Amino acid sequence: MQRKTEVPAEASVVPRSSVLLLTEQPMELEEKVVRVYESLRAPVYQYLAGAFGDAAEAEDITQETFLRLYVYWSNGRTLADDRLRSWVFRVAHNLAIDRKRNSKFVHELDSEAHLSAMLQLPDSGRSPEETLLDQERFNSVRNGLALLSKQERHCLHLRAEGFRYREIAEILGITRSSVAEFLRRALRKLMRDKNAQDI
Amino acid sequence: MHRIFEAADQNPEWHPGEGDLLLYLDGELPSRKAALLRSHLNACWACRVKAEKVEATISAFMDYRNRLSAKLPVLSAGSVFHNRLHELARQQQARRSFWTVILEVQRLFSTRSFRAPLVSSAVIVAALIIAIGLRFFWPSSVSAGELLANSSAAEQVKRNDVSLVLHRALVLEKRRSNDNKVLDRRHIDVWRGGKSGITARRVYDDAGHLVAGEWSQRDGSSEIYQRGLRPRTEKHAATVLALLNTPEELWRFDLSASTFRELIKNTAQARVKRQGAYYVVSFVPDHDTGSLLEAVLTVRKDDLRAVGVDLLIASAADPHPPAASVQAASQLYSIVEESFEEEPVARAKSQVFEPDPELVAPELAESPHATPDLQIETTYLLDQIGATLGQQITVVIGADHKLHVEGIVETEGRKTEILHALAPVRSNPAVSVKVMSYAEVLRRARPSSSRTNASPGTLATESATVPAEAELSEYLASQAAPGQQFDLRERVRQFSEQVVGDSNEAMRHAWVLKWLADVLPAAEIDGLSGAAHRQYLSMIAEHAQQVGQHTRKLRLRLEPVFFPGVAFPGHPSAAENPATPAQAVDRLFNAVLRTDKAIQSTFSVTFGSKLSASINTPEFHASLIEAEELACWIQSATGGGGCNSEVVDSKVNP
Repeated sequence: MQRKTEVPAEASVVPRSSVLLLTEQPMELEEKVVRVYESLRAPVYQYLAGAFGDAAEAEDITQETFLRLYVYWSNGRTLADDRLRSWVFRVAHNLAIDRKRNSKFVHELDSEAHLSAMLQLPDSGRSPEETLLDQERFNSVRNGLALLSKQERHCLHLRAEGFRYREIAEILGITRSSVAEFLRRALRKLMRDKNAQDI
Repeated sequence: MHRIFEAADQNPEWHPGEGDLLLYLDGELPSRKAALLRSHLNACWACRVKAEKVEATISAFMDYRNRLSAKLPVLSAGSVFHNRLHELARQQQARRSFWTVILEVQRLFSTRSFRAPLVSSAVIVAALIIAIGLRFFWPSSVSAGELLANSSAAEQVKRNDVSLVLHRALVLEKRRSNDNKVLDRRHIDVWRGGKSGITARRVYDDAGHLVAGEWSQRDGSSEIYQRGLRPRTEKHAATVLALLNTPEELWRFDLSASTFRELIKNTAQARVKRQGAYYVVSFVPDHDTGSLLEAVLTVRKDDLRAVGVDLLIASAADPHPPAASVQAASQLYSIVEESFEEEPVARAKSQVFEPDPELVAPELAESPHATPDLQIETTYLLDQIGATLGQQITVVIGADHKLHVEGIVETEGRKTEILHALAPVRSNPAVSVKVMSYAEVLRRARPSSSRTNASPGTLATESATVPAEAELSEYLASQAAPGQQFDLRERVRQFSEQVVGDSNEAMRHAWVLKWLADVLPAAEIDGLSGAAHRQYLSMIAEHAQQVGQHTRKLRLRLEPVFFPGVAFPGHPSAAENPATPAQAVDRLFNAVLRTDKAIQSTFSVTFGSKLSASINTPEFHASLIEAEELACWIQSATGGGGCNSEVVDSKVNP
């Protein structure tokens, strides 16, 4: 006997009077933070995992970041809409730096993730030569990334998130011209490794 | 660095560096300089190539990054964050102390016309006095005792109205209290009322399967059915406390104010809050009252109907944990009403008050779920003693999630042997073994059973012949040494028996292979544990080898008879290699089936048939070869090692 699975409107109205969650919190702020969280959590997570490594840690820091946003707002402070994104990334970045200081938040995504990503190279309709080239390109980026300094790596990943130099400078707390220099060096290292592969 | 640009106009030999190119490509150059660089790029191929290299590097990096991102673990559901946020919000609010409010008020006043500190202070003090006065003397809205009493009375009225049938859908969730994670969810369907006054309560799991039910009479006695357990009768209604001590039966908890009253006993201890259209009654026992740590009831303001209850219960192992570990050691059960409807008795279907046959059917006893691992282990044990051949025994996971090992075997001895082989798994409660010998079946199904025909027997062959008699006789006679005396007819019979025997063997192993391949979906094969996976593969390899061997024997026997002097080029079967082992098994099975059909029609003893045309065709030969090749392929694909290369190519004379 199968059960009908319609959910009447009533269900969503009944307050979940959870013992643990019972509160008369002003809901608007919470909802606002949840909305920001929903829209930004994926890029923040991706940045942290890419720039710092450890995905589990990255997820935790991502959540922590948005809790900070709640505290920030609930203390009556405000953020212009166009500053929100870089604010979130700055806080996430600083949290990650702090954690790294205190623990073994690893540097590079582990080789297993790399391997499985490589196995995933699209192979449909490609000749073996093309696949091989693709793999070489993939490996060369990885080798190049290993040469980057932390700052260079952070700049690179933030730029990849679509931030302008000014915003990256703000997030990392460095000058705009440093950002330009770090990015130049980062790309040069990636390129150099590529050339090394060519030879 | 932009000074360089200024020199650019004057010096036609100037070229931008990578940094400048990157700034340009990233749109980070001021417009005038960007224009300068753009015109340079228009003119200079070398720099354009450089710029493309930068772009290519960026694209390679982005590609790498996207692929790694796709491999990142998926973010956990938003609810984890929501709960953390909610908890934080609660703490934040608590931290907002009295004095913060005062300071806020003071700030408000000081920015307005209340410039004088004395005035503002006086206003604040006055406001405070009023507020405190209100807190103490304002008539409290409603007490818990009153609310619960009124609500219980309303319930009683409903219960006594025999003209109505009441139908509620509830959701019961069990959560871990420290992170609110849902551990289990049940849907409860309750029908109550009518003249009989029966309450029928059905419990469904998340997939919508009926897993339990309770039918209680007006006098409180009830029948309880639970899947996997024997039905039981209780003379009296279960007390709330008894239910708390057996949380797995909390689905029997009646979501009502009267039950809640029974639960908390002392209503003076409960507090009431208004929350929108609801009253929320919360209760924390102030001393040891068993496993209950906290209880909250939600009651609709409109009709005082209880629509939700939360129970925080200490886990059974440790009913009085130290305060610090309460969170970890406790579980939160919440029952929330999803829908509520009342309808006249006449319209309600009477069968909703009847227990469902699927619950009543007593094919029960403890029924843990059988896993594919267990299925493979069991199959392996049977395979070791050849009991999977000829479909003697079936090993299937039934609708009751148990592993059924069933079959009929020739003799008592064989039965004992099989039961002995199954010893490692027989004690497993998820395994049900029903193996009978023919004799047993006959004893049970007297006077006659259709299965008697299945027992091995021989047919009288005196006057019968095989259809290939003429060809065989010719061949066998030609093989005999000159002048040798022998019974040609007997030789034909022996030869036929051997061929049919080999074909039977090949067919039986092919059956097992197919059965093994079909028994588990590909996804489950990957999910097998290491040991089970190895067993699975070794069984497939073993049976493939058997098919290969018997097919080869057949081919070597038949080639000189039906294909004398015919040269078959290397690999006549031009079919491409199979894509998957499952596909290979399928093709192998079909090839063996084809050859077996031809052989059976050619060599089985019949009365007066002629040789069928199918055996001496190239297609028949191709099927034999294909079967051999596929068997080899399967063997090597399953790690069973290859087979002799000469299997296919050699031509050996008998």
